[in-house]
Amino acid sequence: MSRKSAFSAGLFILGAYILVALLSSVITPYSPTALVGRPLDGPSDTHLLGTNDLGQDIFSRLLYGTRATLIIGLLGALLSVLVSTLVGTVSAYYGGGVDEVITRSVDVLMTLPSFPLLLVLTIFFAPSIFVISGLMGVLGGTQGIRIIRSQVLSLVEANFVYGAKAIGAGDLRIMTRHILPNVLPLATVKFVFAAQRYMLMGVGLGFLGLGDPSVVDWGQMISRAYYNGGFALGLWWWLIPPGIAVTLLSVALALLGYGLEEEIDPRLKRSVAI
Amino acid sequence: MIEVEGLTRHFFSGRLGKERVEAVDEVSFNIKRGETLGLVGGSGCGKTTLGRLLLRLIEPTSGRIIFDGVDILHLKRREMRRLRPRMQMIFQDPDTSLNPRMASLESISEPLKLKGGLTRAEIEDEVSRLMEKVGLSPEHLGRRPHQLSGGQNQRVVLARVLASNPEFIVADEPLSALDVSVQAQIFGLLSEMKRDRNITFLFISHDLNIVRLMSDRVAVMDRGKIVEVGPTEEIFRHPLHPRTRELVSSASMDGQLTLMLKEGLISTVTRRPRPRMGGVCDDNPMDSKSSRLMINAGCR
Ligand SMILES: Nc1ncnc2c1ncn2[C@@H]1O[C@H](COP(=O)(O)OP(=O)(O)OP(=O)(O)O)[C@@H](O)[C@H]1O
Ligand SMILES: [Mg+2]
Repeated sequence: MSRKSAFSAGLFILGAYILVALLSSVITPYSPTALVGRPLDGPSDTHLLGTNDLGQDIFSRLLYGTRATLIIGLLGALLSVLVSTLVGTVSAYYGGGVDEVITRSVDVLMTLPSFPLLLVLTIFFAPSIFVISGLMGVLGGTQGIRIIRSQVLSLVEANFVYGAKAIGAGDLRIMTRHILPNVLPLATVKFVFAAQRYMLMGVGLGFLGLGDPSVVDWGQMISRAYYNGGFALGLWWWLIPPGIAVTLLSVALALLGYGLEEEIDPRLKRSVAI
Repeated sequence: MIEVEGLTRHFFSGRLGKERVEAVDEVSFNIKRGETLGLVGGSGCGKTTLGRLLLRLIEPTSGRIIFDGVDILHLKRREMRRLRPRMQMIFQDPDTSLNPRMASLESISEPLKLKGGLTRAEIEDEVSRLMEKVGLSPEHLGRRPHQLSGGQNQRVVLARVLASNPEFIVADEPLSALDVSVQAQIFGLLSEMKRDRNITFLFISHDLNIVRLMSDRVAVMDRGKIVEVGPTEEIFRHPLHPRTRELVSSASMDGQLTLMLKEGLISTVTRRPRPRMGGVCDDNPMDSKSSRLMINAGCR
């Protein structure tokens, strides 16, 4: 598949998910938390994917679950890209003591295993989806600092940055007008792959019972189906759909990221290679 | 205009940063206002580093730089920023001298915006005036560096540099990355800047023939040190230092560009250029073989 069509396919699927997340209440008449039928009913006209052990509509839960997963993934990724771009740029641009302190701190943080750390912190701070995204963003952001920093280090030595300095542009202007736009393509790709990783981690947390109990999410759905009879009784419509939803979304983001990688301007690479 | 005393810059490289490179080593010289000092020397002898130091784009290890009576190494950040537009640099590789994410319009207008006090219309007027001066047409305004040829990019660089209205320019091998035909055109523009605006130049090149045409005096650099300085013809006729002799004897006077300059372009340098109809100089490398044709056609 060419990068262009990969990009389009990824964007299309992601768009569909976003639409579903926004329009869940229009698509399905049932609240995902209301007890709307008999427990453990099979698929039917009224309940497309049947009901779970509590008599909640599984199709509704599947649709509404999109929201939590997208929020965790996108918000977490946005935060982590913001953190890594901001800190990485400042660190590389100013160099010296600032850079030293930041690089050392990142080195220390990198030695900590991030998923277990995330688990501990999530329990400590009470698991709300915003806390989870925030933690992921900050923890993931520190990992991205190195990548952005090394890109900025080469940009700082680029002729056009010397040129900007020569015409009397200030540090802020050089960073925002000359360096940042050239880091943006890389940051975008990082954003997409981070979103993919955080969604999977969010689903993982849900499955482990560390998800936000006040929202419907796919991880908690799978966990419930697994432990409350869905697996033992072979009720595939309860177990499989959330799994497929996660997988497809993850593939969509992978396609998007793959398609975007080309967008990292080849011209930029040349100017950075001096 | 510019006086340099004991200017030194070391770099630390190698695995542990232990190897010391004396890129520029105890260099002293001066350039008078309106004068062009040619700087020649082999690859890696420290020419680019010296150029960057003069503009304080990088900090020296030690030494003094006096620009128009001001000791620029002791200026505060703000004072330095205010002085910066007066000294500009044309970098070795035109393809990396411009922000790849900025269109020509933005690149050329940036120095004007920084100067402040100009309205949008005034900036646009000034940009089109500069574009015409360097032989670019309005269709190039919206293009980014990768949508322009090397020669066109170098013209954008010249326009951007001129927008700052500099008194001193470090031109770091401004022709070396270009086709021969384009070299002649850019050379013409530089000579024009020198003559019409009385701009002081440090003209860096390893092509001695171009240096000879452009410079009033020549400095020869070798492994971080300036080994000989003198009036251009003196240096060429009676090279004293062994390194200078080596450079002078290896410079073949029958280089293609030199021939072209001798035959045609020297006259365009001393004559006012004809007004251009389309205003665009074609950078078609196909022309580079037929130098005669190119010179006669000039800018179409
Ligand atoms: N940022 C840097 N870090 C480490 N070493 C450097 C740096 N910049 C330059 N040098 C070293 O300083 C020396 C002089 O380099 P410089 O680029 O000034 O030479 P040059 O005369 O311009 O060469 P060329 O003719 O190839 O352009 C070289 O040995 C180079 O490796
Ligand atoms: Mg150089």
